[in-house]
Amino acid sequence: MTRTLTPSAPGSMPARQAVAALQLRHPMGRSTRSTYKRLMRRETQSSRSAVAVGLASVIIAGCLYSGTELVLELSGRPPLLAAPSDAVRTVSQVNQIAPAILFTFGLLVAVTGLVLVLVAVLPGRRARHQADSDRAAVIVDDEVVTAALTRKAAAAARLDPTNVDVSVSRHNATVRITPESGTATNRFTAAKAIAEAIAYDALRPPLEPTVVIERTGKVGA
Amino acid sequence: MNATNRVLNRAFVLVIGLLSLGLGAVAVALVAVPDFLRGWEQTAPSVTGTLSTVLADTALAGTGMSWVPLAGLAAAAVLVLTLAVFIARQGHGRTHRLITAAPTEDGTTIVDGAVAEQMLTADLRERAEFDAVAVSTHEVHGAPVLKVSAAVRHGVAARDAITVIERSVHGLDSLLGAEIPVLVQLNGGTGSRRSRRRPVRPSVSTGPSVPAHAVPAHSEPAHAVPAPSAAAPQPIRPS
Repeated sequence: MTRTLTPSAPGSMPARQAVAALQLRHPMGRSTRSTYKRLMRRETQSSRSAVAVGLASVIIAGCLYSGTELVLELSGRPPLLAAPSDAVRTVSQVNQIAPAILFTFGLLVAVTGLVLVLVAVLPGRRARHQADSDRAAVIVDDEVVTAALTRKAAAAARLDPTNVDVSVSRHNATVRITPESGTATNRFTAAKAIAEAIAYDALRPPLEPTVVIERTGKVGA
Repeated sequence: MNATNRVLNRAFVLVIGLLSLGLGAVAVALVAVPDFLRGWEQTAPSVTGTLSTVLADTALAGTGMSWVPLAGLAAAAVLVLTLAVFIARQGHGRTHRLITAAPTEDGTTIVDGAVAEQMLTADLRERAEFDAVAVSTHEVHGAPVLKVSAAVRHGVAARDAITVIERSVHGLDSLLGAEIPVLVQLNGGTGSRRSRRRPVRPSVSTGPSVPAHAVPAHSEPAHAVPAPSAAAPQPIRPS
């Protein structure tokens, strides 16, 4: 008796695909990495939208006002504040304005201009850090890091969180601990807990912890 | 995350800043540099004179009105329109389309962004790590990107929050059969540190309870350290 072995079902005949295989790029391919890089850069830097929109609005208002004055003068009606021809005359005779007023005006305008130039040129970093992830681009607000470090430090020093003050900057995390009066906070325990918490989050750029234990304690801390 | 043209924003702010800086510098120089003021005094009348001549020369035949102010009006209108468009183009970059599969003989499959948004939101909203979760779909480099914006509950470590979101996203990957790039943004939660004072810790002192404000600095504390395993700091007793 011969037994004919029927070929096993799986793989014998490819099942018809209901949906075509998705032609998507590999998740961590080069294009995704460049997308992530762009996203991280854009999310950690200010877009300067507020400043640009504010300036544009001011200029629009100025244009509308001068246009109104110009139309009023052309149609021979009285100006709202100053007719354009009067304004031109004032500017040409600017040497007759009191020097103090002219100087103050010039200083204010120049300082404003300098601030705007700095806003445009400086990197405009926001208080955020990047975090490593094998699947996503992750941006963490420094506020989140501050809250977590406060809780960790308070637990390690066995204090109420109100006695722990954490400030996080781009490269540093400073933890100020106000001990309970009459007790000594264990600096080593607190520093270790904070260093562990920072290492656990694995943020970029990395944070350098500084632990400060205040010399004067607080009652009922 | 949006399609704002940041280079344009920077350039615009820079140009306006330089113009203001120049104007301010001129005003200050008029006061501070006598030669400059003298030069201004000598040049200004002739400039005004030239302007009057130009206005007279460009008078329109019928009305006797110059076309220069009209051209100025037109220029102002164009500037206003340009700036209005500039303002309106801030932001944007959101999309509805998540996946468009290659068409087959049966048709094309399209997955809407709302599918992923609602799946992730529903999955993450229940988690204790987050106060609020919002998911949106954006287009970056011509491809869809999911943005998960989560308000992390106060005191939760960022890494714990990230792990939860990663797990959720992996679940979405297997459901969709595709891996969409994801941007995760962790924000601070709403809970304020000040408003979350822990309740009074249990007292271990056997003495009569004393109001906190009546306890002198170096007496038996009204409350003790919660973990008894570690060496509790000994309060100093007044002799």
